Amino acid sequence: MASEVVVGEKEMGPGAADVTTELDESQITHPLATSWTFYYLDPDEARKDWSRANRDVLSFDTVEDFWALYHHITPLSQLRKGSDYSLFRGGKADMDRIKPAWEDKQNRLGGAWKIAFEVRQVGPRVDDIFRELLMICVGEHFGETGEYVNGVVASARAKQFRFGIWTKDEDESHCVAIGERIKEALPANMKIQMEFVSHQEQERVSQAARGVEARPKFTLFKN
Amino acid sequence: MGSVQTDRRFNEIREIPVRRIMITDPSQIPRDLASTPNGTMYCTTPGGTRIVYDRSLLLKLSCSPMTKTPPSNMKFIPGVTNGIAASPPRESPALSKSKSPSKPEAEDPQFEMDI
Repeated sequence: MASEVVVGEKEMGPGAADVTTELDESQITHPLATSWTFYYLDPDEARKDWSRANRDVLSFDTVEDFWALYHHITPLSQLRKGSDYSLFRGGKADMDRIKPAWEDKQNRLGGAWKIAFEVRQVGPRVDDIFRELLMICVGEHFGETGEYVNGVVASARAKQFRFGIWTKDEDESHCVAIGERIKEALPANMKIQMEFVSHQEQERVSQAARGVEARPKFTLFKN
Repeated sequence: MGSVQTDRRFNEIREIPVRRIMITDPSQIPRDLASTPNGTMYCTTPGGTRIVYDRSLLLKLSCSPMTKTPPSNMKFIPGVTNGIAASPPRESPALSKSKSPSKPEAEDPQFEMDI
């Protein structure tokens, strides 16, 4: 039988602290459900050869390494325009890594929930949004549908910050549940439109004439 | 169990039987990454074990001393990674409040790239 381990600070009883004092608490690491790899896409490399533009920054499988990484990267709001940050499952020995590309066999049949924010409107709050999205991924906040979440891509562009939460398939029950959970993690005081676009559709549009827009398969609204 | 998965844990479409274990203290988390509380092994559990960390604990752990230095195997990429710890994220309950001190953004980057 598989088990779901819910680790919550709020459940700690009043006596819990006494036990931990006997341990060197600073040395306890918290294992994640799967490993993850964080990538940086360099805009200059992307123009030359997109397929090789994503560079590994770190593969990790503990909460502590996740934060150690997070504290030592340039915030998304200050990242050079044209860059992407991506976080996808795998990279350590526990599972095959899922590469941040449509072509990866784990992504090919899926799609992505896409959310865009205007740079002028969102400003540095985009860093909080990105952090929330990273946390719902590594913290496994998607319940039963978590296994269909492959990763998250954050793109810093001239006028927009864009997020994509990539899924393993485009099944409605999976994708809508994942979308609803993402919606909860987004800021309460902003009007947000979320669109799910399959990678196949995205690929079709990328090969079509300029001006052709991707048709979203599902749409969700916040506020 | 009909089939046993060997290398990939996420490729079979069926309900995973779930048993919830509530962790009340960090000492209940095994140090060994191959095992999970109650001794479940990743490698022997079809569907695997999902470990869930709620938001408040994640934010609390973000202040751990172990997060103050970059992971030893982190790649150094100029302009992207740095060796100085940023201030830990605020413990604000929601995203509603926006931080005021921020540099004005450069609105005209050299180029625009769309994917």
